[in-house]
Amino acid sequence: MVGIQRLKIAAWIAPAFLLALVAVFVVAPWSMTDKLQSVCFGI
Amino acid sequence: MGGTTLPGEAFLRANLPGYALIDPAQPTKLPLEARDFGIYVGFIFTWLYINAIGRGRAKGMPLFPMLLYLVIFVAVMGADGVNAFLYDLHQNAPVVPYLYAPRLELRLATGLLCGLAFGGIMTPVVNSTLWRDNDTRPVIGTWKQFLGGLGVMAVLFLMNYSEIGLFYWPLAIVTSGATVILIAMINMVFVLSISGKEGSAATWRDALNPFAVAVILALVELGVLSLMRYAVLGTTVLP
Repeated sequence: MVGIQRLKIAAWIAPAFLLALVAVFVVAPWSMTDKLQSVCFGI
Repeated sequence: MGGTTLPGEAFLRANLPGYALIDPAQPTKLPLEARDFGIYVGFIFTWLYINAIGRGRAKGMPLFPMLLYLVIFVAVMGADGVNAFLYDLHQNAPVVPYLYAPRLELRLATGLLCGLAFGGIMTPVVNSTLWRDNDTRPVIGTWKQFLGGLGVMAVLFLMNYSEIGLFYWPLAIVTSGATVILIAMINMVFVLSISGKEGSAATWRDALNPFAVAVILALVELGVLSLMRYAVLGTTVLP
């Protein structure tokens, strides 16, 4: 039972992480242009 | 992009609330210059196109004549880049020869062709490492599909080259997203190979686990590259 619950939680870790990453990027307190430029700054 | 004066644009800007937010009044640079835009955005749209034609999990390389064209596309981009480098050297050392003065449209077009090549060659590599399905079809199997991919690149070329402000935000967001995704996909191949989990994903949900790890690595790599550029050039804007 505990094992199944762990598997259910584990299945949500990656999507939750990726969604959180996008959310943090969107709400970060800089202009969107600057944020988009900064992602590619090193390229 | 932006700062354009298309028919009716001034009227919309003055009368439509929020229009100025989606169409920059002043020309604004995309996050990447033309060649890199072509490579990264061309790659992501080729991957989307391959998914759209139902070959999203195919593991076969494009058929030989098409694969040869893709390799030639990479070489053409490389040749244009070397010529541009020689041209830059020529400005300070006239003894250095070059073939032709670099042109923005060539830079963009050869970048997009390289993006198409990356998409066509990398997708089966990623699919072979990621998916459990044994779909051995080539990702690009017919000339019709190949020409369709070129058509997608032509649309991207027109959107970028037109410099129409309405395309700024969609292209800017896709450019930054494509940069992270392309690097993450390369990382994912290594993550899956090193962890011995090749061919373990049956659903998109399964694929998200290695992809999330690959995204973390991509962010670290992009951070290191940014630090290196900052250490050498500071915030100097490149031409």
